[in-house]
Amino acid sequence: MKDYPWYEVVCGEDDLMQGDFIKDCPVLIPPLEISNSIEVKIINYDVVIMSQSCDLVQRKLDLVLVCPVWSLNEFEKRGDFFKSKKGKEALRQGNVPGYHLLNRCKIDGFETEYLVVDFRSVYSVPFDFIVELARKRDKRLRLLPPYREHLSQAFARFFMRVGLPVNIPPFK
Amino acid sequence: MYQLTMQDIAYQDYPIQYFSSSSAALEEINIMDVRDNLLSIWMRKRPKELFYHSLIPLLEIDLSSIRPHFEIKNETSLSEGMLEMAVSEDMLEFDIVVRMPPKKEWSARLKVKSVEKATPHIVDPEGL
Repeated sequence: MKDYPWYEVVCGEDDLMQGDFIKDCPVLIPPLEISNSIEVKIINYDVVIMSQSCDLVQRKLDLVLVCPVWSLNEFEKRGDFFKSKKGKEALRQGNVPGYHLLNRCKIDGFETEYLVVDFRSVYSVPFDFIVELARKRDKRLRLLPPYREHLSQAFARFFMRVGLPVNIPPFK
Repeated sequence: MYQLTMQDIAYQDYPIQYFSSSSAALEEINIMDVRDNLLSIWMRKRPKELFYHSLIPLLEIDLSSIRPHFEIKNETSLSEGMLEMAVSEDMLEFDIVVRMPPKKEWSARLKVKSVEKATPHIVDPEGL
């Protein structure tokens, strides 16, 4: 069977695409009120790009959608459910909306553990800013098809959920 | 001609091909060929039989008349065990929220240059 790698390494100057990982991406959190002089909070995340590649390549976006990425190890420490085999399995099978598991990367110099993408914390970063940041960060990891489309589909599934105010009671 | 036998082939779904030769006479067929042929047919049939056996509990079968009646059972007649099998734990969703802190957090003081009302950025659709 043909080998279908999960990741590849691309250069900093390469066009940004969906599934590109950017390390230490700063996100500005504005204060509650805007005046002439404000204090903003800046938070850094390792992120994966969620915007569609065609929109990015054709520069049809002013803002690029990114989601934070965590190693499964870090994630487990914050969520007891994911310490269990059951929790990890649920994550692997795509049964935990809001989170998506990605495989380990074994590329030399870019090794990662299993990664968890957090769809609940979506940020938008100005296009020019993230292009410049990617260039400065130099080589970066890129998620490859069909895993990239799988990630995008999981995001869509999470986003399109409908919570019913009154559900049909379960059948006993 | 060298003929394949069951000993030559390990795959159970791979049927043994028997070559018909014009020179093949009845006396040339030996007992080993017959055994291999039967074994090959049996190995091909067996998985199918198992498959059909697994469907039997899903059917209502009436063999009392000369016209046997087969019908798929409705869901109320399916046993609880089968339903449990169908709705396995794999199909359940876990709506869990994990609040992860950022990797790094600091603050900066900014001087606001201007505050403007945003204008739409219209992207021309392609192919229209």
